Amino acid sequence: MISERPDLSKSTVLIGVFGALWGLMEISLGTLVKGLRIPMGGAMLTAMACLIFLTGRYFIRRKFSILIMGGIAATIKVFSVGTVIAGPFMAILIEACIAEILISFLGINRLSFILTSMVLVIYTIIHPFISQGIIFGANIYKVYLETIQKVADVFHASYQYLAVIVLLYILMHALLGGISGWIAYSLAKRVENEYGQLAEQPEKL
Amino acid sequence: MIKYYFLLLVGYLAAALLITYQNQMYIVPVAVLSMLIIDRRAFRPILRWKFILLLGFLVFGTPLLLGEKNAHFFKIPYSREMFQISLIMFYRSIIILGAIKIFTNKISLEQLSASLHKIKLKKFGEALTISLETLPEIKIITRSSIGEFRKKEKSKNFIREIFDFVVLLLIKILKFAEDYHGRSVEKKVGTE
Repeated sequence: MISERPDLSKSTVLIGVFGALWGLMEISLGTLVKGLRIPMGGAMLTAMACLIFLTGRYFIRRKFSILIMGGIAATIKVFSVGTVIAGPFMAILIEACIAEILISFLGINRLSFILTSMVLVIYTIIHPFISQGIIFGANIYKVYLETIQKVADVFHASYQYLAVIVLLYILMHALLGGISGWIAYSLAKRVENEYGQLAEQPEKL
Repeated sequence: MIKYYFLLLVGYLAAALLITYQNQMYIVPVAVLSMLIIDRRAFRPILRWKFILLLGFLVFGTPLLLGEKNAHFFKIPYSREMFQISLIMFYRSIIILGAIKIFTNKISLEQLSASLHKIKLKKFGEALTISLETLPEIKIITRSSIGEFRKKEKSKNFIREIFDFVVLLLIKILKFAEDYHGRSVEKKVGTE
């Protein structure tokens, strides 16, 4: 754990470094995932982002640190490539807000890491609707609802089947999030142990 | 400079939110023309074929497929209500995305970070400055670690190997952060 300092504290440096790492992951893997059109790509990116910022948060025992890391990652992302990236920008900021609230309430432990990751990965399902609602306006929901109604009529599918599909989809996301949170906590623990050992023998690095 | 472009961004966002079918004839031409004058490059991402296809479907496909068909265009029935809704969504998205692009094209990350120091977001500005300073070094550390990982002989437990790789990468990052902090403290002591 890193202690607080009055001037340029180690925690501020760590927030900057982990925010940069998160931003770097978003611009490199984010572009790759988008380009390859990998199914559940957004969920995978969020799971990886959780690994970075939750590990970072384990070492930075300061409130609002996830929010600042998210702000940095989103800023790096929005200034990075010449494409339409309002959606990912909002996603990173909203995810950072949710994670900040959850970690503030639940503390730093394995359960809080798992729950936070689960919520964030599930959130990736709803995010396109929220970002499109902001960009296109609330009328986009009217278009979506009418489209669903039309598709259901064409295939004679009942809402029960649709609900089962949606539920399965949510469960897959929850599982991915849970695994990511579990790994994030194990990762932070192991890094803490090994970093402590290596600090005593710096030549090993 | 940043204040000007920030106010411009807020202005365009407000204009996008206020667009209705009745006032679109006044708001849209003014907004789009002024955007073209300020920065023509802002529309480049919007002119990509994927985005055009999406907007094309939104404006022309939606009225043909959804809603009550109560109007005709060359004997093709379409929904007037859906067409009006789609057109407003199209204008709104163009203005919002163009406004964001103008802001990011005209303002650099360094300018943004410097102005955040001046306002109440000092902590964020400080962390953002550190990020920008450390980003090239973090890229090098990450790339060299990936290179080393690729060269290494792989064992059967691939997941364990990836986990070990991430542990080593994070240790290097933490060490780098420690060194960076040490350097900044030394610099401060030196200048004092």
